[in-house]
Amino acid sequence: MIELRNVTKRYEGQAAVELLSFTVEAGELCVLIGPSGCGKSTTLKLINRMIEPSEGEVLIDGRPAAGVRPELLRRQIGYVIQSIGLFPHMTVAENIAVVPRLLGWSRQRVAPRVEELLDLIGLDPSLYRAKYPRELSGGEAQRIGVARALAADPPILLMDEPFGAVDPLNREVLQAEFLKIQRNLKKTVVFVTHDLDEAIRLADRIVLLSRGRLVQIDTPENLLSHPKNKFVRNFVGGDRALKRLSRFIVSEHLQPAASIALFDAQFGTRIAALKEEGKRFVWITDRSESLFGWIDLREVDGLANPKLAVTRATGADIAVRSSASLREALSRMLGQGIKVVPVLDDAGRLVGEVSLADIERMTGT
Amino acid sequence: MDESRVDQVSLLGVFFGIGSLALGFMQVRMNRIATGVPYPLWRAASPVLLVTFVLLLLVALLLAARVDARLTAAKALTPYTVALLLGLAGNLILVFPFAAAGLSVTRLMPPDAPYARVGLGPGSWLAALSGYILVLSSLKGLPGRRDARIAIASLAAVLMVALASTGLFDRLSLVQEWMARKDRFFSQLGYHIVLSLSVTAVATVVGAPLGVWAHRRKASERSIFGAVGALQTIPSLALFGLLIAPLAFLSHRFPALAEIGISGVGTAPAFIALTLYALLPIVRNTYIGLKVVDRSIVEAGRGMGMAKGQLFVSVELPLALPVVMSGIRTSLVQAIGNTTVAALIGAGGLGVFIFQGLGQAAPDLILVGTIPIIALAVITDRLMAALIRAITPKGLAPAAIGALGQ
Repeated sequence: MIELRNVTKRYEGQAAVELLSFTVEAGELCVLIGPSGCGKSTTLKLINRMIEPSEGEVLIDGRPAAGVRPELLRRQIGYVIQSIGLFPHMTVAENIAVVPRLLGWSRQRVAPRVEELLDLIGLDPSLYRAKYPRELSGGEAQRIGVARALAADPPILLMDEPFGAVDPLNREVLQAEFLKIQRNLKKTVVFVTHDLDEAIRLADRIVLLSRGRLVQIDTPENLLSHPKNKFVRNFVGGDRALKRLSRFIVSEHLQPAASIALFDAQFGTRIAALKEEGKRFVWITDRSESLFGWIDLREVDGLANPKLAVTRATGADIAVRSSASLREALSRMLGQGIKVVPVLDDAGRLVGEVSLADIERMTGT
Repeated sequence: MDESRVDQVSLLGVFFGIGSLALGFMQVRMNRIATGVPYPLWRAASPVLLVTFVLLLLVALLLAARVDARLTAAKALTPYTVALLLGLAGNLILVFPFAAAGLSVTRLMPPDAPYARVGLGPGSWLAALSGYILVLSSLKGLPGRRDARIAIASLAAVLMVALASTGLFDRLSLVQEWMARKDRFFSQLGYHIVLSLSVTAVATVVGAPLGVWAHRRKASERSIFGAVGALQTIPSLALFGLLIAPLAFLSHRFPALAEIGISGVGTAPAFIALTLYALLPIVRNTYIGLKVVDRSIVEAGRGMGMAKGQLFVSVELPLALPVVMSGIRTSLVQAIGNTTVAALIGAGGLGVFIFQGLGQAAPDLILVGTIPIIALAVITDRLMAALIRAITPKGLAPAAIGALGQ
C-alpha cells in the first residue's frame, strides 16, 4: 500500500506537485495521467525518493518512506522507465539479476529466478539469457525491462511511461501481456502515462492530475461516466463510450466462428450443411489455418462451384488479434463496413469472431 | 568493393619504389662524419639484385593497377590471393634495401681507407617506405582474415631479424655506429621506456580522478580544462626551461631534495613536465567517457537502488573505460615522443643519440636514436589498441568504440 499525504514538491518556489493526497491499495494498478507538466512523473519519483518532497510525506505499508535509506527503499520497489535503461555491457541475465545481486542473493538462487522471469515474459531463456541489449528489438528490451523490475519480487512496481517508446501495434501486445502478468502477480502498481486509452485499458483506478494538483481519482468507468468537472470532461473527450471499449479484450468476448478450409474435400457438402444451420457468413481458411477470405452463403445458390462465391480477404485486411481491445474490433468493423470481424491468435490462426452485437452488449446501449 | 577501380594507395607505394631508383641507394663516406658519395642501385648493387628489385616493383604494379580485376573475373586469382600476393611483394620490397645494402658493402668499400663507412642512402629509405605502404594497403584487402593479416604484418620484421642474425648488416655504417654504443644504447632505451611508462602512470593516477571530478562538479569543469589545456599549449622545451629555475632553487634551498636526486636539470624537471603534458588526453577522455554514458542508464541504476559508488564501479566506469584507455594510449605514445626532448636538459633517453648526432653532424648516430623511438611508438600504439579491444565490454557496439578508440 502506498499513501501520499499532502505532498508538495517545489522547484525554486514553483510547485511541481501541490498538496497531493491519495492512496494506492495493495494489489491495485493505479494510473497517473494528465497533460504534460501536470506532475505525474514527479509524483512517481517522490514514491521511491528519486525526488524528495518539499512538504508532506509518503507512506509505504504505513511506514514513512523518509525513514528508510533511499537505496534500500528502491531495492524493494520495481522501477521501469520509458527509455528502459538496460545496462549495455551486461547480458540479459545479468541485467535481470541486478537487484537480486544488490540484495545479496546467492548465485544458486539468482539463476533459476532469471529463467523464471524470462519464461514469465515469454522469451525463451536459452535464446535470450546470453544476449546483449543491443541485440534486442524494442519490444523485447521493454519486456526485459519489466522482468528486471520484477526480479526480486518487489511488492510495488513503479512504471514511468513504460510502453511510450514502442510502436502502437506492439504497445497493445505489451499491454495485454502486462495485464496478464499483473492478474497473476497482483503487484501494487503506479503507472504513469499520457495515453488515455492506455490508462483506461490498464487501470483499476485513475488519478487525473492537472498543474500538480489532483483533479479526480476514480475507476475508469466512473471517470468516463461521471467526470467531476469541465476539465475532466474535456480531458476524456466526447467519445467516452468508445473509450470504455478499450478495457475489454477481444479474447474474453470471443464467439466461435464457422469456418471451412478452402481445400476441404467436402467443401460443397459442408457449405450446404452450414446453410442448413441458418448461417450466413462463413470464414474460409487456407492450409496453414490462416484467413483466406469469406463466403456469403446467400450467393452460393445457383453456382456450379460454391468456391466461386469466396471473397478474398486476408487477416491484415479485416481481422483483429485476440489480444486487441473491443475498441479496435469496432474500428475494424467501421473501417471495413462489416458487422463481424474474424479473430486471429499470435500465430495468425483463426480462433473465432466478434460481432457488432457483442460490442453493443458491452457498451450497454 | 568496386573491383575495377585502381588501388591508388598501392600505386603510390609502387611509384615511391620506382623513385628510389633515381636516388642514392647507398652512400660511401671516408669517415663517419664526412659528406657521402651517393651510389644509385644500379651502381651500388650487382645486376641480379637490380633485376630482382625491378621485378618486385613490376609485380606490385600489376597487382596495384588492378589488372587483378580481369584476373579475378577469369577466376585465376581471388581478391584474397591478390591482396596476399601484394602483401608478400610489399614485405620483400621493404626488406630489400637492407638486404641489398648488406650484400653490397664489400663491393663499395674503398681500399686502403680504414675509417671509411658504407651506409644506406635516401633511395633505400624511400624503397623501404614504398614496401611499408604496400604492406599497409594489402592489409585492407584481407578483412576478417586474422591469421593472414598477422602473417603479412609481421613478415618483414621476421625477415629482418633472421638476416640480422646472419651478420649481414654488421658492416653497414648505421649498425657500426650502434655497435660502438651498444651498452649505452640499451641503458638509454630502458630509461626511455621506464620514463615514458612511469610518466603516463602518474598522469593516469592524477588525471583520471580530475576527469571524474570535472564530470561530477559542473563548476570545476572550466577551471580543470582551462589549466590542463593551457599546459598543453606551452612548447615542451619552454616548459623544461621554466622548471629548471624553481627546481634548482628548491634543491639548493633544501639539501634533502638534492640528496634524493632532485635538481634543476635531469630527471626531475623532465618527469614533471612530461607528466603535465600527459594529463590532458587522460583528463579529457575520462570526462568524455563518463559524459557519453546514457543518462537513462544511470537513472535506471539509481532507481533500482544502486548506491553512488556501486553505480560508478559497476555501470559508469566499465562503460567509460574504453574511452579512458584510449586517452591513456594517446598520452603514452605522446610521452614516448616528448621524452626525446628531455635529453636536452640532461634527463637521458634515446634523444641523447639524436642530439649527439646533431652536434657531431653524424647522420647515422641520429638514426640510432630516431629509429627505435619510432618503433617504440608504433609498437606501443598497437599494443594499447589490442588492450583496449580486449577490455571493451562485449555488449558495446564495436563501431562506437572504433570511432573513439582508433
